[in-house]
Parts: sequence; C-alpha cells; structure tokens
Amino acid sequence: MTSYQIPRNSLAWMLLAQVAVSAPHIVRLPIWITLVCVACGLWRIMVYQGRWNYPSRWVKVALAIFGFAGIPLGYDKLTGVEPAIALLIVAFFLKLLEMHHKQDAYVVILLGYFVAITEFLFFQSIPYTIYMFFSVLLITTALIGLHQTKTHIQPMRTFRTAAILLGQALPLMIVLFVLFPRISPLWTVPLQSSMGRTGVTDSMSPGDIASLAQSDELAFRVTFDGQVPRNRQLYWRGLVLSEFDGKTWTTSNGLVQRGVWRSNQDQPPWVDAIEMRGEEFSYNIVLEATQQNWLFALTMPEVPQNNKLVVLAHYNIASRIPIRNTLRYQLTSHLGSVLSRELNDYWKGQYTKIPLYSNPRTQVLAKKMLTEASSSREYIDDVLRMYNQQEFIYTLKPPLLGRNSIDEFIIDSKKGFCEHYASSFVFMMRAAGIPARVVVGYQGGEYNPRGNYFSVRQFDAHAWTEVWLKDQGWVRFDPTSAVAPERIERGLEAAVEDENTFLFDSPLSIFRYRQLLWLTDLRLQLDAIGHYWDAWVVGYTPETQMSLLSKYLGDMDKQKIYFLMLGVFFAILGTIGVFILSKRSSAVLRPAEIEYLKFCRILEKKGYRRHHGEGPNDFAARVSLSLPSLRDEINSVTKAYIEAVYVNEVEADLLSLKKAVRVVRFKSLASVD
Amino acid sequence: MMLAAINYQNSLIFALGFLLVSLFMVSILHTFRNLSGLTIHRGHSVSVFAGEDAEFNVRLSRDGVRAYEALVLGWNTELMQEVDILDDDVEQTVKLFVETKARGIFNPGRLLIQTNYPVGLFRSWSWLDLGFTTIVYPRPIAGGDLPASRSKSEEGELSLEPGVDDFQGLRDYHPGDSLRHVSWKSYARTDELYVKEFAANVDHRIWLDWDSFHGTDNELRLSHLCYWVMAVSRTKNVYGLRLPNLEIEPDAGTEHRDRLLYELAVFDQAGIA
Repeated sequence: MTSYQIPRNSLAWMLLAQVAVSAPHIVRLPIWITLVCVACGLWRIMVYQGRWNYPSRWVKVALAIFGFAGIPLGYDKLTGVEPAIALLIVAFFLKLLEMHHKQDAYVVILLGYFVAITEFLFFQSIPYTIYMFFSVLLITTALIGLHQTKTHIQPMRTFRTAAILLGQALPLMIVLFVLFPRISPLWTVPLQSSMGRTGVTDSMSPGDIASLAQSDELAFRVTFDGQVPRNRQLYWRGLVLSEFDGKTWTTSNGLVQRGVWRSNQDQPPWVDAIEMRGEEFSYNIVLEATQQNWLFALTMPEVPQNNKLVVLAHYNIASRIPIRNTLRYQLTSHLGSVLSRELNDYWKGQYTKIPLYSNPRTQVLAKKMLTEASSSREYIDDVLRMYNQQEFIYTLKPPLLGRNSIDEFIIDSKKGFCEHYASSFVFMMRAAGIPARVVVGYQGGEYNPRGNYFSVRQFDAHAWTEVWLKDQGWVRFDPTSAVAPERIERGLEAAVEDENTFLFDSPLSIFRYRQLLWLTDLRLQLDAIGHYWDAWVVGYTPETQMSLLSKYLGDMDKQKIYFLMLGVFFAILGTIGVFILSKRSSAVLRPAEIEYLKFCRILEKKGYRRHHGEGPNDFAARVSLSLPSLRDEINSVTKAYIEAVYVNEVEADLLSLKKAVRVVRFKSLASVD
Repeated sequence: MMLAAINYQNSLIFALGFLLVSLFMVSILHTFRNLSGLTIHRGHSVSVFAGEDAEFNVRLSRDGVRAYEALVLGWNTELMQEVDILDDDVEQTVKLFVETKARGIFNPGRLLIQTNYPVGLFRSWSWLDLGFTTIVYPRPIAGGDLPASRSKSEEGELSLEPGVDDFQGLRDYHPGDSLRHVSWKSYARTDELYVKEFAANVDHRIWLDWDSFHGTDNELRLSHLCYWVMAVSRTKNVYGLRLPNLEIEPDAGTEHRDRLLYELAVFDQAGIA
C-alpha cells in the first residue's frame, strides 16, 4: 500500500487547529476522552517526527474502545447534544492516527468545522465568536496546506492565504446572513440539561435566590420605547409558585399541564379575565438563553396571538419551545391591569392550601393576628408592619433553616433574604385563608445610558408575592420592601451595603467596583456593544429578519428577497473576482518610488506635472526654473531619490528621501498661504 | 450544518455556515486565479530510445507578482509534476517524462495543466498544445554480427577501445570529436584545438547494412542497426549506413551518429519525409 503523506505544513496546522477548536469543549468532556485525544495528538506528533510508526490495529481499537466507551459512562443519557459532541471530538482525534489517504485528511478537516459549529450551541458572546473565527481560520489553513506542494515550507504564507480567503468571504457571509430566508425549526432537539445556566428555576427553597444573587451573569436586557417606568415599578414576573411542601415552593404541575401551553389553542380561557389598565409601557427584551420556557415581563403584557408565546394560568408568559438561544421579544404592558377579579372555590382552595402540620407556630401566629384584625386588608398591613417594626434583617447570609423553615425564620432568626420574606408572607396569608402565591423573577435593573437600555442580572433575582383580594384580583405585595425599601429603590448592592456581602464570592467581579467611575463607564460601553450583538446578531431570528427587511425595503415577498440576495451576493463576488484577477498587483513599487510619487503629486497640485518619460533630473530642472523658492528642496529630493534607487539601496537614503519630501510638502503648503 | 442552524435557531451557526459557503465561492475565483495569467513555454526535449521515458521541459513564467502554487502538469494522470512559482521566482522549469513505446517522431499530445489549490473543491485546468515533438530511436537490441564491412578487420573482430598502441599525431579538431582525445597540452601552448590520433588495428570504414540481417523483421533489423550505431560510435571508427532507400557515407562524431539514429527512427514511416 502506498501510504499517503499529508504535507507536513498542513499537518502542523491541523494539529494546531484541533487543539484550538476542541479547547473550549474540554471543560464539558469526561477526563478520559480528553486523555484519549491528547494521546492521539501526541502519537501523531511522534509519527510526524518519524520516531514512531502509525499505531497497530490493536492499539487503534483499544483507543477507540476507550474513547467511545467513555461516552455512555460520562453522560447520564445519550440523547443530548453533549454526548454527540463528545463522539465527534473522539472521532476527530482518532482519525489523526489513520491518515493513509487524502480523503482521511478531508474527514479531519470536515469534523473540525463541525466541532467549531457545536461550540456555538453553548456560547455566543463576542469574544467566543472571535475565538471561533480564529479556529476556523486555522482549520482553513490546514485545508489549504493539504493542497500545497509537499516541498512547501512557508507555513505563514499558508496562514496568510487562508486569512485572505476568509476575509473576502466575510462580506458575502454578511449578505447571506442578513438576506437568506430563515426557516423555523424543523424539529426540536434536546440539549442536555446538565449544562443548565444560572437563573430562576421552577422551585424555590430558602437560600436559592440568595445564592443566585451571587452571580453577576446577565439575565436579559430591556429597551423601552418612549416612557421608562421607575425602578420600583420594574417587577419582572417570571414564574408563579403556588405549591408548598413546608420548605420548598414549586410551580403547580397540574396547572402547567392543564395550562394547555403546548396546545395550539389560541386563547386560553383565563385570558378573558384580564382587564388591561393603567400606565402603558412598550419594551423589547433580549433574553439570554435559559434552556427553559419562562419569559419575563411586567404585569400585564398584551401577548400577541401567535404560536410562539402563551399566557399561562398564573398570568405569567412562556415560550412554547425552550429558550436555547438569545431570544428577542416585544411586549406592551399595562402596569395597573386587574387579573382575575373572580376566583372560584377550586382556585381559592388551591391558593390557600398549606401542609396541615407544617410550621405550626406560624399558623398559630397567623390565627392570632387575624382575630386581631378587622379585615383581611388590615391583616395584610399588620403582617407587613410586623416585618417592618420587628427586628427583621435583610441579609444575603441568612442562617440555615431546618424543617419548619418559616417558624424558624419568623419567630427565631428573623434574618432572611427576599425568598424568606415572600415565602413566610404567603404562608401567613394562606394560614389566614387568604389566597396568595409566590412570584419569582427579577426586580430592577441597571440603566445603561450608552445604549439606552436596562440590564437585568442574576443578582437582580427577586421573590415577591401576589395576594388575591376581592374586586381587585391579584395584587402584588413585596414584603421585602417592608424590611429593606432600598432594595426596591436602588437595588441589591445598596440594600446589603452595610454587611458588605454583595457578590461576596466573586471578588473579581467588575460589579464590585462601581465606585471606580472609569471602570463603570468602560463596563457600560462594553455591555452596550454586547447588547447590540445579542439583539442584532445572536437574536437575529426569522421575525427580526422580516421586520428589518420590511423596514428598509418595504413589503417584499420572499422571492424578491431571494433575488436581491443573489444579486448582491454575485455583485460582491464579481468585485472580488475583478480585484484578485486584475493585474494591478503587478506593479510593485519600492518604498523610494512611493516617496517620489508623493513628491510628484505635491508638485502636480501646484501645476507641474511630470511628463511621461521625463527623468527626475530633467523634471527637477524644469520645475526649479518656475519655482525658484523650492529649488533647493526639489534638488535634495531628486538627489536623495536617485541615491536611494540607483546608487545604493540602503535604509539611510530612504530616510533622507522621506525627510526631503516632507520638507517640500511643508514648504509648498506654506507658500500657498 | 444548516440543519443544526435551523433546528437550534442559532444565528452564529448560520453565520458560520454562510461563511463556509462564501469561502467556497471565493475559492472558485482563487482556483481560477491560480492558473490565469500564467505563460507556458515549450522548452527543449530530449530524444530517447523506444521504451524509455522521453523528457520534455516546460517553462512556466509569470508576468506579475502574483504567486502560483501547486500547479500540476503532465500528460499522464499518474505521472503529474507539481510546481510552485513563489516569491522571487520569475519562472520555473518542469521536467516531464513520458513513456515511449515505438520509434518515430513522438508527439505526446496536449499537455494538461491543472490546479485545485487552495481548497481542493474545485479544479481549474487547461489542455495545451505546445507542439512538443521528440525523436524516439528504435530500441537497441544486441544481435547479429557486426554488419559486414566492406574491408576486413584484423582477426574479424572489432576493437571497441580506441587504439592506444600507436600515437600517430595531431589533427585539427572537428565538432563532434571526443573531448577525451583533445590534446590539452597543445591547446595550452597554441590556443588551437588539436585531436590526438591513434592508430588501432581496425579498419575505419564500417558499413552498417540493412541487408546484413537476413531473416528478421524490419523493426528488429532497425533495433540491431541502432545497437550497432551506438556500439560503433563509441569507437574511433568511421561508419556509414545503408538502408533500402538511403545510403549515408561513413563518417564519425555525434552529429553523424544522431543523423543515423534519426534515419533509423523515421525509416519507412508514412508521412515523414
């Protein structure tokens, strides 16, 4: 068998590209897969250096078994994307040891492009994109290296060619990106949930939100059209939790299932019970991927009738498919809306349900306070007053609580974070027979003047409550505001200023240094760039595309857009073709010639044009006669030019030529004025 | 790739997919560019005996600074040569070899020049008729006796070595004389080239005769004659050739030898004068 030898130049680039393209995946791969990959790479280097031979069949089989067996062992289930990527990477490296034909090398290159693509399933930020572009550049370099002669020994030349190719491909890519008709997903594909990101989830136990508040990760960004609400109005409702087991609040499964949110029914019946009222705000949210369905909105948005969004029975909204990528959505909320003026007995029962024997001391307290109050409204105020006037402390470091967490919090420790207040408040309501529920979401946000939007981060996560009052429907009560009003007015950092626990676990977080104004300014600037990236690149969905195109091109049908795309695409391609095929590049000027041409241009502006075929000396003599004031300078340029080009090509002559040309320019400008 | 982009609604995967599509479109231009603007000249070719590989030289030159990489050229798809024209090279010469089968005037046909640089997905190519010809001599086959010469040689045997016994004197140099016999001492003295003449016990006039190989077919006769032309030309002898339609007077030197070989190559070939 004649063994195909991959050009050495290409192999070196290929190994480099493999390392670059797989590096970001390593954190997610089981360790032995990484080891198999490293082993393959090292072995290939040894083959490359001629020290070892290609491994025997048995070694290859052993490596393959080891690598592929690692996949089911390393992941709980094999249906997600992550095991698939692991498989791809193992194949990608194993193929290195089996490169007997040019086709094998093509397979490696192709796998490389695929691995690069999978990276975008996990990260889509600007730095990652730049990094992946660089990786693609390396793979392309290896691909070009494959087609070079075996004696080619200029690796940087190969790299430069790849860079030129990709550089010329960029404008074409942008045309396709903007204009290529986007299609909705053909089928949904699971992404392993183990890669869950931080964010509010569908359950809440004491300490959950406090730990979430340790993260400065972005949740979403909001741009308001026109009027902007005040900070204390910014309650971004996410999930409504109505089931309580004594310690943990969860969303009621029954409700979700009965919530027909997967059905295609256009108008769930409970939507009729919404009365849109109050101040109206229009806003656009760019939500970071959560891998979940919940969406965040101010109360109560008008939800467009489409198959993407749905209003759940708790009057929170969700996307029909999990949010795997940055999602952009536009809503209009009516802040004073009345939700469900009527509540039937079934729901009343659901919203007043508490486990019978849980937190008995709180139940007793609630009964006692209820008998002291004249109405349920007064009872609510009494409870809030209790938080405000007793020794309750708002803290990010609450003590750990036991089985009867609410008893321990309300009666003993009195130290808690928003989830403690929300949880205990709803419990007190339900113990008194008042329908109530916990709402989790975000509160507040940081205004970015650079981009005119609000950034809502994980440390803005918040829990509050809604109580159903007759004739008013669901009314928001935030017990946290009774304890720490500054949390609602100025955010978490201000609220925990005294105990100095803000982002305590991330000493390097840029948010801890808000007092450094330049740093904050820089952060806001970068964040604004990230916002536009998320909104216009990452969040460029079929809907965004249609609205953008109809804004600038008027109403166009798909066919016209298609023709437009092809037209622009081939126009650019043609321009590139003319550019690279023109012989323009054949005239290479030496630096001294470039300088001399500058000099000629200066004189041309003054009306002295060098004739075709006129030598520098003749030209100088002719111009000097008409421009005696510049004679010395013209002569020194001419002398320096002749020295530099014809006598000895040394750096010093070039420098003196540059200097002389500068003097001419200066003098000629001066003489004009 | 596009399926992944669509199903995950991932804009950046779309972007990367579009980038690769664009890359391949651009690479069409680059593949074309890698061949356009190239000047291809016919270089010299070398005559061979039938069965050997004929050598043809192709000169590739560029007129700009544009570099050419991985140009592949040849007649036989399995024996292609690769060449780069990079950096300071203005031109490159490629030696190409083509297997020959029969004697005669050999034309390798149209030359294929192609390239699939840079990404290998596309190939640009051209068939060039450079008018290459070379003479393929008959395959020399040892056989038969030394063709009967009109004069007798001593002991009927040809001394293949030039005679060394008797130095006879110097004569003027003729083109084609072996440089081994040039009298360098005289040259140093007089600036004139003289050739040392030796006497060997050999008759100098040998006729290589078509008719001396009875009972063999024409091609074999030509092969034997070719063998003897080569053999005799290595000696000091003068030799002539007799073919059915041609007679060449005995002479010596490489020019004479090549003339004879040429006649053997084109003997009885239709269309060749």
